[in-house]
Amino acid sequence: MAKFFILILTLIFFAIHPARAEVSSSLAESHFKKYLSALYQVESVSVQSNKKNSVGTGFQISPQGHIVTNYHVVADSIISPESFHIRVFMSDGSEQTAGIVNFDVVHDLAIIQIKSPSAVIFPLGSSEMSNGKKIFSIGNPLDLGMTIMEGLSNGYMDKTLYKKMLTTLSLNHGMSGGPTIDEDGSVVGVNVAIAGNALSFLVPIEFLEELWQKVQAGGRGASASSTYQIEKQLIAQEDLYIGSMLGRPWEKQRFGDFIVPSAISKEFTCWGSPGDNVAVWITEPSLQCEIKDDLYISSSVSAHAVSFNYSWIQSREYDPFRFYYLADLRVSSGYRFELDSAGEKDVENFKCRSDIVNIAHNPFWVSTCTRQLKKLTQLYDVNVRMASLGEPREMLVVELTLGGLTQASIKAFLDKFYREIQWQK
Amino acid sequence: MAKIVCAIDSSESAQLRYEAFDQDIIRIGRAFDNDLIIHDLFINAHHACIRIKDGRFECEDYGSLNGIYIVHAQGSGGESKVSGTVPFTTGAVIHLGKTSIRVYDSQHIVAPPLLLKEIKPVVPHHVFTGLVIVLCQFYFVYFILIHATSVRANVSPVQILLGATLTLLALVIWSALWAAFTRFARHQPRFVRHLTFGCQWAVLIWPLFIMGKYATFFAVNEAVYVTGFIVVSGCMGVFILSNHLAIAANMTFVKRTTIAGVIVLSLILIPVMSFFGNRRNFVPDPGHYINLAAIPKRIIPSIPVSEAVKRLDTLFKQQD
Repeated sequence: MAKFFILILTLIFFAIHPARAEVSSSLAESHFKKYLSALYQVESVSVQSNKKNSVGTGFQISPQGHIVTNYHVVADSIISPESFHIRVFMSDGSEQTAGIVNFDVVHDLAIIQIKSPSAVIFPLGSSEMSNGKKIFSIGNPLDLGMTIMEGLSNGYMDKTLYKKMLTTLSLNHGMSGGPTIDEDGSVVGVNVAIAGNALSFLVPIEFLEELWQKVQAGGRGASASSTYQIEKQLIAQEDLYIGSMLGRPWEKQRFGDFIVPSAISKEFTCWGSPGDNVAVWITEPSLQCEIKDDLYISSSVSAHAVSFNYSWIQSREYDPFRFYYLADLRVSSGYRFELDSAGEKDVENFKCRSDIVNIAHNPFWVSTCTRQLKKLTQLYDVNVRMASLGEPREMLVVELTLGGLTQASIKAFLDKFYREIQWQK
Repeated sequence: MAKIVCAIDSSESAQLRYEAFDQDIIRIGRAFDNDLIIHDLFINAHHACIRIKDGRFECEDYGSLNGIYIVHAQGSGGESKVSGTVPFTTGAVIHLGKTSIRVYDSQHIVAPPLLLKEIKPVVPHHVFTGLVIVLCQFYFVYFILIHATSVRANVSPVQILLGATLTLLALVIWSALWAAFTRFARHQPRFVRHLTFGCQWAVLIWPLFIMGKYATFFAVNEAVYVTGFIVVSGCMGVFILSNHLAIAANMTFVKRTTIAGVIVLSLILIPVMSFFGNRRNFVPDPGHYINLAAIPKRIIPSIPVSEAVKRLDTLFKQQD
């Protein structure tokens, strides 16, 4: 076992060694040396077990001890302050507890504060970045120790809902919340997510500046109202997000005998499968669309998720009764909600109802289930399963999932969704 | 002390069967509620009765199909059907269908005492048998009937045949158990007999409830479904209960135990079986509406989108 561990450690060492070797420029070296004491390892610690639940990086931006990290690193402490607190390790290994000062759920930023800060701070840079500009990212990948790596900026993404910078950095888990600096040493973004092999996203500095201004202006109250604040931020964002989605005409495509909404905004991605040979007796092409940018609220809950998938079930061999029996199994196979791993402590039970709704001049069996989020009581998850009726051998089955939205948005979205479906035989 | 003693010679067994009765009237027939039950197809369900009136035997035919013939102790009679009430004396033989009963009064017991069945209550045995019946009915009929023939995948004719055979087999086993139960109960004291009789009827109600469920095959929405279910099941229930009461009214023994049996078992059985067998009833899903395949879409009643969206409020309200 020990040998195995040594092997793994050696492998990890070799794996990261070239990355460190690449950063051979004296610039990176000097930046790293200069700012090392302004870097912190941030942990969300379970009160009960005193063990870390999530780990990330933070960097100091004020002499008063304000540290920037990602919201998702400290989310558990914000949502359940009674069960989690924040622990911060300085570069010399000393440990401190930290308090939440302010956060931005939508852009995944949080500012925390410690009592005895270091003297070094990171200066905030500008958000104007040209493609190909050299940048350095610092963080604590896989909890291995502070690491600096070099990459290139690739400008801002237009396929994502929230403005993000794409870089060629190969960020790893644990580097979340770490700073990305330019050659002058000022912060241009905050590490946030891994996009793929050697591709990562950064939160642009402008959002951090916005948040920092709020903190300096003395905004944000005690941590008791943190869930209220999350709700407020989410609802403000939802108005923009769902509002813009509802305002635009939706892209649609033909699916079976219906014309259905597909990539309804540019952030949506759709996947299709022909489903010719699902079984001998039935064909079932399907189409799935979802938005990638759902917001992280806690390890088990996310918000602003929208996804829908369609199946067009057809059978030539079955008589109508058997066909409907079978289709029924497909539609009613339990109310699964696979959006997230929300448990009893996060959400209420589903409440369901069924109606036959006239959609596109066709009767649709519509089963709607909603549940309330326990901590964020203004937000609901919705799962709609619907199936077209009245055709003896064909059926359109739709499953629509909305996560973490307000009642008004859910109603507006469903209303539009139902009305956008068209029938064309 | 028994008042009437019968020696029965029927096709049921090679030996004579002796029965002793304490009461003044004995009803004879195939049906379960008779005092003297004879399994002879040539006998009516309620065929005749033997009475002691003013210290004398008399026999009354209930208008049976094959009638009764009495050969008196002196050897006279037996040539023609008896009509109405006929007096007779101890030792006379009554012929019904293919069965002959020799009737004695208590002073003339000729049977060896060992053959007179000493009746002891066997309540645990009865409870056990009752449970077996309930379980068999539930598993065999319900599960096999529904699941073996259901369309889950690409079902071949062989599978359907297999399902149908299994169902048939289950029904045979069930019937056999039912018969065994009846045979068992026949030799129990009257209280147990009548209670189990009630239980049997209560058990019978359940498949009728299932029938009620499938009778609502053409329901198009929940309201119609629920109404249909209640009406059909209710009719079944009324039919069974009235049938039962009619029988009970015809009986000479205490009816309350039997009726109590029906009510108690129904009260226990129906929710229990509903829970295990029919759990999906309590969740609205399209499962009950497979029938919609048969209905042209123009006729299916539906609500407009605006109404559907408005109804979301009822869901949200439940959460607050």
